Amino acid sequence: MNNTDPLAVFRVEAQELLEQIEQGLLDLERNPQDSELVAQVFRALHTLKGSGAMFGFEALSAFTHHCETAFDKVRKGEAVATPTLIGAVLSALDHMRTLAESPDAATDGGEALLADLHKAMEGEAEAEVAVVSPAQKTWRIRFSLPADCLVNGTRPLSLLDELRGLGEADVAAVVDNVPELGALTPAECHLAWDVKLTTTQPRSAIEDVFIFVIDDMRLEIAEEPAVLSDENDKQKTAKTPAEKTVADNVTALDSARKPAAEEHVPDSATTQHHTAGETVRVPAERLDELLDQVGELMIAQSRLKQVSATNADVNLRSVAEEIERLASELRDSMMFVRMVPISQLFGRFRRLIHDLARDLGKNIEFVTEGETTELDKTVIERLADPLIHLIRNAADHGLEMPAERKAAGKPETGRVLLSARQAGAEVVISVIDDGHGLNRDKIRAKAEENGLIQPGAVLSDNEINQLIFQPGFSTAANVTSLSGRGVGMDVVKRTIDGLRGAIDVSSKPGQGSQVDLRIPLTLAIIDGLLVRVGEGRYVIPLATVEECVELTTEQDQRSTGRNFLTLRDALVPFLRLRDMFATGTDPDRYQKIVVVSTGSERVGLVVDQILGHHQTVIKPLSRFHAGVETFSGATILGDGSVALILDVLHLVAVGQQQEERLRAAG
Amino acid sequence: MPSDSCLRISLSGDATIRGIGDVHQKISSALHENEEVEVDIGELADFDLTFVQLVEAARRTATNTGKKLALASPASGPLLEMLQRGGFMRTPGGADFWLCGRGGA
Repeated sequence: MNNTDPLAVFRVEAQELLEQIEQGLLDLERNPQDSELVAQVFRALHTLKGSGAMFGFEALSAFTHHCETAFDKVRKGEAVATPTLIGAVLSALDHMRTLAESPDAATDGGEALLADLHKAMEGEAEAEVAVVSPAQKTWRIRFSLPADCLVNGTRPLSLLDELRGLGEADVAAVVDNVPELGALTPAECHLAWDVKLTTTQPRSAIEDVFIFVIDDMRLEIAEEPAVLSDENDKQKTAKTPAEKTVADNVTALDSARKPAAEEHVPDSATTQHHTAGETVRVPAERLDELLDQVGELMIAQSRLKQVSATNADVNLRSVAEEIERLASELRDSMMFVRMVPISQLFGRFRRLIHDLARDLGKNIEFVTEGETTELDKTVIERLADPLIHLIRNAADHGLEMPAERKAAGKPETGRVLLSARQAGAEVVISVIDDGHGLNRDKIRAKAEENGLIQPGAVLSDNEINQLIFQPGFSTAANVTSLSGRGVGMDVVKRTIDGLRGAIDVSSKPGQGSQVDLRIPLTLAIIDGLLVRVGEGRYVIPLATVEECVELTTEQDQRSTGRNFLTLRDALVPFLRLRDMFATGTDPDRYQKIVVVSTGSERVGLVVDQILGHHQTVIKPLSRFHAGVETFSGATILGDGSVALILDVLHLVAVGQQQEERLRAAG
Repeated sequence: MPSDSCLRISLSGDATIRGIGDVHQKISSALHENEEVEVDIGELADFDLTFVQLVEAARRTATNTGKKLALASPASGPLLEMLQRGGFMRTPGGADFWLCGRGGA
């Protein structure tokens, strides 16, 4: 279990850093003056360079160095984050990604990217405005590194060199803690340093030097009292008494701290950083394994429940109940552990929009909402591709060119909104654009041409909209490199089906379109309602169940042919599962209708008997049964028999089609 | 100047974190068995901070046990550069030791 490959760890870290840099750059594009953003990008570049070198990714490290230098200048106020510079670094990021994946990759294009970067920086230098240099300060920096730092590849001398790079540094080694020969483990580091640094850089710049080791090291940074030799300095100090007080306090703290430091007792007042340790990185496979085991536990638990139900032993029952409670809590916690915020996914699309806007010559505003909505990690991974297709489509086909928009009385900048929200046991992810909307006549004509529908077939708006998800369907007159090849939308449909989700499309001519992806929260274990139809037992996902009503024999006979149920003045279509499954048995005398819904659409399912609640561990159907649409999986019951899980989305769609046909027919 | 009871040891090879264990042993036993030890570092192929730290530990041991430890010749070249980079000439008695009392070099 402990064979974690350090290179794999680095790659994961590098991807996260690159992502962070990318987000930072895109934010900077909107907000070029934000010094916190600049510092954030710089730090991430710095970390990437450092850990790259540590793991032997020399090419990546060397390349990143140039971007870091550029941002160092921005950070120091010697340059401004212009769109050209941000663009150059963004392009360089892609190259860094390649280098992080394969350190020996040919460095094709690297030179050109660097040339662009340098050009962007030179342009900067020319346009440079006189920057008022901030006042110099003297800092007293004392630090010692963790004992294993040398083994881990930390280079204290490089840290000292970096401090020297910030200003005038007076470095003294402190060997007080070096033990005698007998007690010395020579590979451990017992050295400390005391540095007096005079610089115009802020404290954060000093902290950045220690960015790789700051979590475990002991670091004290204190401002030395200013030497008031200069009249200007005097005035400055006089003008800002607050600043002076702070400096004094820091110094006072510093001197108060000295004895503690000498005794080598950890002092709570010192700047010890313990930001790490709050999160644990666990490979996804281990979580999957754990989830599998929880699944098995649930099955065993339901057997236990069944055994205890037929046993008079009170103790056994009480233990069974206790285990049921614990197992279900364990399941919930397990689900929670696997949840990650969708912001991880949304962040990736900002770059996509940035590139699309550039390539298409459109002005696009990208807005995201509900980034904190959480979804199972596996689901999030699988949603990336479908969303790329949908966003591309919105930007490419949906949004009009600026001139066209202006002529239509719309703002020139088009808008693509990506939102996520939780609705019951589903997460709804919407891609909304304010473009010209779907052209249903065109879709219809194209579908007739391709033989997807019969000419003149009666179709609802929704059915026409859904045609765009058919394989090979494309109405774009021009095939661009981005979209319009007719691949993509069917991939979206397939992926979402695979996630047991649904796609709703709505569109208003001239106002834009909206695609909603409805994704179930979890994939592996659900609460189910166990029902009997004929002699078979089936599971209906409990989250979709709205209510259960009885279908009396009278109602049953009356409704034959027109399967509708009046439920609080609303007509709800229902499906007779006994007929669908051809059970060949007589209906139960008191049949029940389980009303299920997906969002706004409802349908009733007629069953013979409702057996009760069942914790359902979903097992996928075999490849041979993959085409069976009515069922989304199977589960094992307490007695070892198999129950099929009803695919509610499919059944609702069937029910609704039945309703729409009846309505269309008048 | 080394007296008769002085042992002169010559260090060679790798005095970096990889080979520091051997150097540690060599200096430890020399200092354990002798009153005065003079270390020749002219043949050292490579060294890093662990070496400097080891020598600092040896200096402390010598001081605490009333023994004498000295370098055969002043530190120079890359070693001197490293000592300066790391601020080791600023430790108490550091410059004197490393430069064999020829401070200012």
